[in-house]
Amino acid sequence: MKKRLVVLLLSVFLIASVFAGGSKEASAEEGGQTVLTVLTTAVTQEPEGSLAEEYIAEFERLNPDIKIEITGVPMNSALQRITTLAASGSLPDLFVNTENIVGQLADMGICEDLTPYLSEDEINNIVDSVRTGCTIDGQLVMYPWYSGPNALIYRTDWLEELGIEPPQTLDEVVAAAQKLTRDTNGDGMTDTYGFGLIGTNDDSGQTRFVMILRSFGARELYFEDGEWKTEIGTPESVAAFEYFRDLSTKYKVVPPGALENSFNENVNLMAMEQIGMLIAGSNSVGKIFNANPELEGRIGSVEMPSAVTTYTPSSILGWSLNPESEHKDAAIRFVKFMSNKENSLRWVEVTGRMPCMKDAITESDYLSTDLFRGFVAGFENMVQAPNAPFYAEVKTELGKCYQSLIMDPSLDAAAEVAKCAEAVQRIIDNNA
Amino acid sequence: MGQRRKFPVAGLILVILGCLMVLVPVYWMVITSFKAAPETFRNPPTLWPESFTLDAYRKVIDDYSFGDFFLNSVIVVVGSTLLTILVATMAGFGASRFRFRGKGAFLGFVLVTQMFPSVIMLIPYFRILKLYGLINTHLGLIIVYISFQVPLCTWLMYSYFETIPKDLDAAAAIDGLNNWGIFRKIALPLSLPGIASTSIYAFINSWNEFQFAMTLTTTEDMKTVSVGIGQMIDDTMINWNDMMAASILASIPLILVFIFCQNLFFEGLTAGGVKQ
Amino acid sequence: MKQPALRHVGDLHQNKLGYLFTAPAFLVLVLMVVYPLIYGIVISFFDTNLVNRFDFVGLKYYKRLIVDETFYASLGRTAIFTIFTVAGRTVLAVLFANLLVMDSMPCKTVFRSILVLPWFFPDVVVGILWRWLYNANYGLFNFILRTIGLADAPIEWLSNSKTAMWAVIMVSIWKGFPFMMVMLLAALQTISKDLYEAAELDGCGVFQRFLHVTLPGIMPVLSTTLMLEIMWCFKHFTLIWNLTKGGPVDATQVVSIDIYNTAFQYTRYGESSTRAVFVFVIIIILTVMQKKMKRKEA
Repeated sequence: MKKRLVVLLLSVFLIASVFAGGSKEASAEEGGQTVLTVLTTAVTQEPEGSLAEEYIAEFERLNPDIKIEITGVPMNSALQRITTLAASGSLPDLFVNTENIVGQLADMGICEDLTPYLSEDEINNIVDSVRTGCTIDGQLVMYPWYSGPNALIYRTDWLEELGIEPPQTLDEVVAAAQKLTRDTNGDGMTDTYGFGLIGTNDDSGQTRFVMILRSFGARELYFEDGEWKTEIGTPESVAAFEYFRDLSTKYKVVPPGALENSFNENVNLMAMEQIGMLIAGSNSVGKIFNANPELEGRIGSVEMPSAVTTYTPSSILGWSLNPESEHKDAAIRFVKFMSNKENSLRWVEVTGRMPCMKDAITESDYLSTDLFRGFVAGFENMVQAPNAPFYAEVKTELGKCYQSLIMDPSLDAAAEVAKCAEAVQRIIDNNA
Repeated sequence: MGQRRKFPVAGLILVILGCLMVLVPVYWMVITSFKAAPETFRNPPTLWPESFTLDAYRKVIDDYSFGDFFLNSVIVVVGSTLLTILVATMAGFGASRFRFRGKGAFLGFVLVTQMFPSVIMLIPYFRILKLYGLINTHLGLIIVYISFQVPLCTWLMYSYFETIPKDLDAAAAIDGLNNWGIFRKIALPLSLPGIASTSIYAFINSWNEFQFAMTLTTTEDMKTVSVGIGQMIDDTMINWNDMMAASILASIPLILVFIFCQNLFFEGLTAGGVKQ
Repeated sequence: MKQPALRHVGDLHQNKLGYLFTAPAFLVLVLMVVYPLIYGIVISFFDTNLVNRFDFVGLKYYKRLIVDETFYASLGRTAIFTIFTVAGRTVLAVLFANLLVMDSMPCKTVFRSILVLPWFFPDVVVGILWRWLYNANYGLFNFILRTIGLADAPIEWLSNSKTAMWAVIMVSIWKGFPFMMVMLLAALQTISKDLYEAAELDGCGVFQRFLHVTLPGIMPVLSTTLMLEIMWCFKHFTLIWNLTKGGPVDATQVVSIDIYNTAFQYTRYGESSTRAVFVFVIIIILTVMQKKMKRKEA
């Protein structure tokens, strides 16, 4: 009897699963409708998700001949997912792309050049720094949706209270951070720290270090005379590493656990009112307010402070078009709709992510607030990060170097940086 | 049966310490799930929710549509566990009870399939499922999970059958039972604790499997619970209360299965005539 | 013990039945696992991004790998992680399984249900949760230590290369011991109580009873779970990734993280596979060695 029951159960499940699966075969045409498959990171996040879904519904209403089939993927597994799909010939019509992975994806030849699909006016409407960031080898490989440039955010109320002007240079950052590092309740222990250092060896940490490195006038990787080169190892680069280290170990303006505090932890610390300044993208401000609503109106931004120059790496999230897509026109219609003026203006107010189109930028009142001053300034000066397919690897070496220096301040910085330079050069050679 | 001796106090203390070690992080999960979002971002942390709220649970069920994820998980995991256990019990019995050519090779091969670091297998798995036309189907995930669980379950079942004295089979054979009868009437009931604990193992592993479920399902309506939870991890901020509520909801089926089945695997057999 | 089973059946018959019983398992694995396995091995000879570039490079990556010191360093860390995790899990599992199986244990069901809890949560969540608990600023552990006055400065468990690995191993033990415990509990049920009574009559103490009755009784299951645990730990990824991503510097950079980074951060799939093949071979060697040792004992 029992055996029969098991057999019965098994067959029910098998049959059920076959049927449940059978109906899910993706078909390109459904009752004369074009089905556009789209892979995006927006729907797995809030508040982006609800608004994106609203936009999509509106697009479908305006274009009854097109049906959008959305798949969500978290940002941190986007590259892995897109590679998997591409390697199995299952790439959707449109997929998310960002400044971080565009080099690698373009290298796979899966990003269609969008220039032929856009009018000259449309191309010129893209903010210049963004357009550069979306272009590789003269091809427009992604269509921008929004941007989240990094700037220095700070507690306006604390700076006012201490009579500090928002810092313009990296030295002023140290000075301000030292004043902001305080024991507010007099129990002998520091409760607030001046600067939220992201010391993890991940993209957030590395990118912020590169901003400081470039401010000192050293480039981690650049293309010149037909080959990739590095300026790691120069005195400027050593000074940048030392500056980064000293924030934590000499001036002690950084909360404990610097090497485990990723961007995530630092956003928490900002929300917990434990740090006064942080290098962050415009969208993270919204997350901070979400965690601690009392901070609204008490955070401002300035462009990334400089040592000898200032550097804001381009930060763009956009769409790339599968060259084998059968619905390219529908796809183009969709991406244009998502970043049209009206949608962009609302998008920035809800998510804090900035528009990439000139018409929206000039018309947004929201962007002229204190909160956005630094982001807007940085946005206009965004510089495209090196798009070498091995750039991520180079950045990991930088991360290892600053982590060693912070962990053991007695190490000779110049020697460590020289080791790092060797490692970077080896990566370049391996990929030559 | 043996006389009841007093339980050694030292042992009791050890068990209680072990429970504490387990419970501190679990306690933290549970109370976090009952806090309102801003309270989870407070330092120093609150050890008891100031405002006890079910918001996170409501959000997980309504906004993140965990109901659908649950249904997918149940279909995939129950299906794969039942099939895995059937296949693995047979293979374990076969390998333990029969001498056949290539038996060692079979057991070795089964194990070898599990030795390759799985990250590298993500892409080929996707390709093979596509070849069979099973991308985004429950059956596809079921087959994948079977292929993960069968090797280890076969080995576990094999070792359980090995602990059952073989003289019993011989005695049964003399009593006129054929091989299938021995499998069903002697080996199967005797290895029930083994089968139960192996099924629990397969069930839990499939239920919590994340990487492959994440990669092999590309549409929203096929996502499983673990994928839903994994998606809550954001690079910029984690909503702790939502995530903990989701994890606790996700673990309830496992806890229930365990509690209901524990008699099966722990008290199924006591000392008796069959053992020596 | 080594007597042939079912003496009345001929060898031919045994062959047939053996194949019959093992065929389904064999089929599933051939259909599903063989292709990915071969794929993984084959691409280790290619410079490829898996989409539009497949350049055969022969043994180039292998040659590069065997002189790569950082790779050996990560192998060493993997070994440390594996040894201590498995040892910790085994000690806790054997201890609790033996305590929980005693008849005189009060509230057995309750303790058992509590001790298995860590098993029920996904690795991803456990990793993230402990990362939070360990946090130097707002983590629960530091808060407790501060409140009861055991620490005046925050302890940076995950930021210090001396403690990071141990912190990771702790979590790994916490998460993994219940599986082994349940397996052993099930195995302990099959040991006849008469044996314990006989041993007691012979004047064996607790420890001797464990050595002469319990251990032989659970040995088949224990050695299988040990073998599985070693395999898993050697290729373990999720917990470590969510706790430290391999940092600080490279203190917890184990081979699986190396493989993941090379493949999915640097999109160098060929080189990543080379590492995977290396690990594959090492695990095979370890298993064969374990088998040989077991046979010698027997």
